[in-house]
Amino acid sequence: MLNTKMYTPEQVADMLQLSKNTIYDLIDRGEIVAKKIGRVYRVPRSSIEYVFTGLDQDLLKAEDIDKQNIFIVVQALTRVRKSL
Amino acid sequence: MKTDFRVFVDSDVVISSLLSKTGAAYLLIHSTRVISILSQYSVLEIKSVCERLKINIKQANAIISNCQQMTISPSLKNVRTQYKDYTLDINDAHIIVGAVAAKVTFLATYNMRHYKTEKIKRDFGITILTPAVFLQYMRSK
Repeated sequence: MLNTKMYTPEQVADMLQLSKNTIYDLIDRGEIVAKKIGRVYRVPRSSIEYVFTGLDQDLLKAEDIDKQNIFIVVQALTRVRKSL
Repeated sequence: MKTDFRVFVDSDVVISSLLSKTGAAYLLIHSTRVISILSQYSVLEIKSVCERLKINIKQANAIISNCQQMTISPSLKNVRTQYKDYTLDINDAHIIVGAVAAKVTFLATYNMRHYKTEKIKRDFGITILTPAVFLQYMRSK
């Protein structure tokens, strides 16, 4: 239930090597989705997935979907290539 | 209108796009910003794999016809001999030849480990990426 890691804007600024003001600006523009709790913001890991994987969250999911089938695809393709 | 990207697509990407409409391969193949390129050998093997995996051949043909098709002149035997140093499995060599002949700068594949990516980049200027990484790159353009 409490698996969703959250970060402060300061931590995000440090990870992305940007200033704190830039992070607040990105949050304001919706480029980084954050939750305002009282007077402070918290940024879920999913908003900055790129930092960890090199991919935006939607693309990471899309790649994971393909990976579910890739073993059978590669196996079939390898056999076909041998027979060409 | 943003730039079109010409990408040589490995057959595993085309087949993956036929297996899932929410996967990265499908998104790449159906992107209006991407011109996907295949060779005659790719087409041959895609159809054969579809038969093996019982994938609807009509859907495969529809995707193939939307791709730009090109012909590799050398025989498969010559291709495998000449380009054997670029792959771990010589049977994959025709994909590299196709990408070189198509004069692309990107090759999309799920078979990264079988290609000598650094050597291919150095000798032909072709960057090998998975579909999702290529889509991520497109977002920055």
